[in-house]
Amino acid sequence: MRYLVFLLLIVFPFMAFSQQNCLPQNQADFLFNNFRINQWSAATSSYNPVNSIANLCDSQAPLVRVARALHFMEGLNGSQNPKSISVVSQEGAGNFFKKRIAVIDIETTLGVHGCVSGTVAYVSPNEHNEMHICAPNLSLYDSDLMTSYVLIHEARHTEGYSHVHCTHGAYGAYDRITPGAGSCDDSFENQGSYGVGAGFMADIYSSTQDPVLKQEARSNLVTDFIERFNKLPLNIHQGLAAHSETGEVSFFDGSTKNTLFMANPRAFLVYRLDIPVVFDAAANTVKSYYYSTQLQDTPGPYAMRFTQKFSAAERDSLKDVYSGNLHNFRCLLFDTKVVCRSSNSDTEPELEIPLTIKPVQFLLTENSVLVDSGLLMIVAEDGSLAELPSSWSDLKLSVLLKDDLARFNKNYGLKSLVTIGDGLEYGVDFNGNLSSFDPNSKSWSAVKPYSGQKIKRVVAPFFWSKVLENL
Amino acid sequence: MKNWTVFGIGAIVILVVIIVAGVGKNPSPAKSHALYRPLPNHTVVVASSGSAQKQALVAPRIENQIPRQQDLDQRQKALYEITQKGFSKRTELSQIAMSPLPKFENLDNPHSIGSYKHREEINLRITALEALDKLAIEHPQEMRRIIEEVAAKQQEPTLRLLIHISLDGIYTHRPGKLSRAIDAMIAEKENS
Repeated sequence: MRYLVFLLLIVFPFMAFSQQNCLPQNQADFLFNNFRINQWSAATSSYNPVNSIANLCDSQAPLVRVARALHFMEGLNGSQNPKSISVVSQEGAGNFFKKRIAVIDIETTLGVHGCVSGTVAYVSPNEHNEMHICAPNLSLYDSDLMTSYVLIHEARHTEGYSHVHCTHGAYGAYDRITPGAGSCDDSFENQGSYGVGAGFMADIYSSTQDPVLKQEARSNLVTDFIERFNKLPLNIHQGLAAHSETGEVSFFDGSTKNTLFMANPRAFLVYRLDIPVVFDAAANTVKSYYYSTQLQDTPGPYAMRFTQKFSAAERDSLKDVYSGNLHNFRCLLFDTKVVCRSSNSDTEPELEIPLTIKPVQFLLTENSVLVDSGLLMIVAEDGSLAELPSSWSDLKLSVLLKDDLARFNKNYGLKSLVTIGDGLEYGVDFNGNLSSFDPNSKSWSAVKPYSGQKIKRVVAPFFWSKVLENL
Repeated sequence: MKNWTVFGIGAIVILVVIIVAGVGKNPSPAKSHALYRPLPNHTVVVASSGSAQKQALVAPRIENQIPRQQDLDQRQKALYEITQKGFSKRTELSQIAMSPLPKFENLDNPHSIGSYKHREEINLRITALEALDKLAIEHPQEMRRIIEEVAAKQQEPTLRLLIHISLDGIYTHRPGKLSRAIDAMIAEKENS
């Protein structure tokens, strides 16, 4: 008897613990009472109806995941707000899903139907009220919150809402190089799939008492607002920063120009860590613009040793500075040489490359569709271009072999070029005119807010808003 | 023998109490929320992630702060606990905020598991960054140094934008600017 008691005492807590993560039967019943469930059979190449969950304690099972997510969404039906712009808030998350989805198909095999390229769930335009769940991928997804988010996102697609190409950020870069439909929505206000997802997160954020869930919803909102909508929050716009020959540094978002600050006209505008930075060689200062007219001193390794390392004559002959994100080196351009150093190591010796051209300044073609993208070139006075190697190791090899810099065989007549968003190009010609390129007519046209101004350099992409200055 | 009998009866009573309390069967709907996924207006006790988390707070990588092997809910809980400890965990928070994002496949497919996992990773770093931003209200000089270090190391564009907003707040003697910006973003959409 006493051994039995011992055994019970040892085993029972484990049994209790394992069962507490089981799906309650009433949640399974809710699933089958409200949705028609089918499962794909590779053996018969057909969908077979499913009426029960074999193991309610199998937390990896797709129907357990779906049932939990549905239950989670149902719990939000009580916080409806008919006046909200969010469709999910108007209807309640559970109601939103039930209104749009009646059939759930469990896809068991990846690579068939729509379960390609890692897809978790999808809907087909040929079907009505039907959602497919790619079970092997859903099983890698372990949060009720995020599973619910996926279901709500997909449910909105049944109403014809599709995505558009992202015009900014990391997804903008993916969309530029892949043929897919896009990874963004135009705006939250459109209430497309990302819009309803963000509305769902906003509901949770405003109503939950669970601090962890609140934290998760808050960060999800930020991610959606900045990464998944082309219309950014707080009136933030993507644009370029332009440095004029009078020293004005301004922001241009494609329609409006805003003066950011004034710099020494002889200083160099640099793009470092996604923000405009001004290197003033005469004053030996490096100042960064962080959404405030009060610029911050941010000297890098070059600036800190500039006056010691280079003679007054050399310093006077400085033509430009490169410190962009695209290469793992940074360079100073003098009238007869380029001096570069590794961005990753302070101990590696600098490299010096003599020039046979008369340099004007650096030209970076990051994301350009007009010129080969991702090149760092030196513009010469005659308009010709010399290309620097793409990496520090190639640069070292080039110096070792005493190679001349590769000459580019086209002359674009530009001394500065940037690409914003989905391929919108702005260039500065040798007269300092800022123009935009029309890919349809393949012609340049002057940017009106800058007419009459001579521009030295443009850098981009840069995100700016007056709201950010004032917060 | 008498002692064993008393012990046995006591054990059985405990078991009965546990069974009556419903722990040994599928929980009722209301309890199930509190157990694994609370819904709005339910008070929740945040579980401790225990010694594994403490052991993990050593190496400068997010996997060690909030291990990727754990599910997302556990990672969020672990991060929440770190944020609640405030200034004493500034180093851990900065390591999370500056850590590079893992590489996921199929990021060009917005409906892919890779895309959703990528999002989770960014979310964790946003939370860490906002916690650092709030700490700057009380400790501007120290947090300036730490957030500048994060700025120099974090390459992800969204995170960099948020870092710049935070730094601007510190530079202009208005720390906590990132947190205010996030509040404003949410309020803007709620009022739109």
